[in-house]
Amino acid sequence: MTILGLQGVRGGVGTTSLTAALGWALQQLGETVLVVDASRDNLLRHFFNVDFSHEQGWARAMLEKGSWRACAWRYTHDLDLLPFGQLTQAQLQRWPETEHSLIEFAAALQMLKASGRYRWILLDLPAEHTLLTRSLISVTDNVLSIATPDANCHIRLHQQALPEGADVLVNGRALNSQLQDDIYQLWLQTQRNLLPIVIHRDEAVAEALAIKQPPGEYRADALASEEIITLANWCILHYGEEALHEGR
Amino acid sequence: MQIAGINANPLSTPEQGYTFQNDLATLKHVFHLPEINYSDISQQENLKAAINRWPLLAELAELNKRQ
Repeated sequence: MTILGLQGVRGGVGTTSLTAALGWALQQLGETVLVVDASRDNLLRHFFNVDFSHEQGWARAMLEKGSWRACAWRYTHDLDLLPFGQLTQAQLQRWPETEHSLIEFAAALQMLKASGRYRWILLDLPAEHTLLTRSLISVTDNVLSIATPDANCHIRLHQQALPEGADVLVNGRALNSQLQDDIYQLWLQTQRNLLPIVIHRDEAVAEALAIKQPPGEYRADALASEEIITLANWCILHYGEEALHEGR
Repeated sequence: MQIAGINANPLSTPEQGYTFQNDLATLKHVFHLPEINYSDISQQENLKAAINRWPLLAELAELNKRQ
């Protein structure tokens, strides 16, 4: 039972796509998975064919004193989804107050973990370090900090704190980019917590959202889908329950 | 309720037999700058060339070495 947070070093590095894709890949490998949207953007659900007009989710349910459990969806036998929920303008405008009401969700995640119902809970975390993000990160077992090897992320890795123990995963690596090649080679040599796996930029991932499916379901043969299967295997080996017992 | 092949409420049965202790201490978590070490790059020609191509990379490498 592992709670794995995925958080972009900044917005736009493909964290939500990666969460959807990794959830799919893990269940392909026989794992039970719950993917949880922890972002106000409420976008993760669209990879799992939830209607745009369906506004329910755990955050909205908690704010309206409803049952967050009733907001989950079963996508496959081994893959469930918990959307964030579409907040109203009023709820968003009162964000500090709203956020305060949501931090108890961290406890709910711990409870879910203790139930042993899922081998994996994947959290799609927003890039900003709000109180809510920090409280959810505090109950994770591992965090993947997602970075694209571009100038923007390169600067951020020199000035921006990451969760303790976070591993850095390269996503969206472009082919035929001198700058990305240079930055990636530099990271290989200088970043101590870089994962030995790279996910390349792939049109199939962009198309998956438009098709409303996880990337690996939409195009299992795409380069990024194959790389994400490798990532899922790596996660099982290094973050999975057995890895914890062996002290990896 | 069902939406196009995705089924609602897989979590709707409450879990039994678990009590959560709402300990605020568990919400504390430490954040650190990522560990970056430029000390090994000076011998590698390709990395020297990369740093020389882009002033931003040179600037950050220089700052890191000084720290």
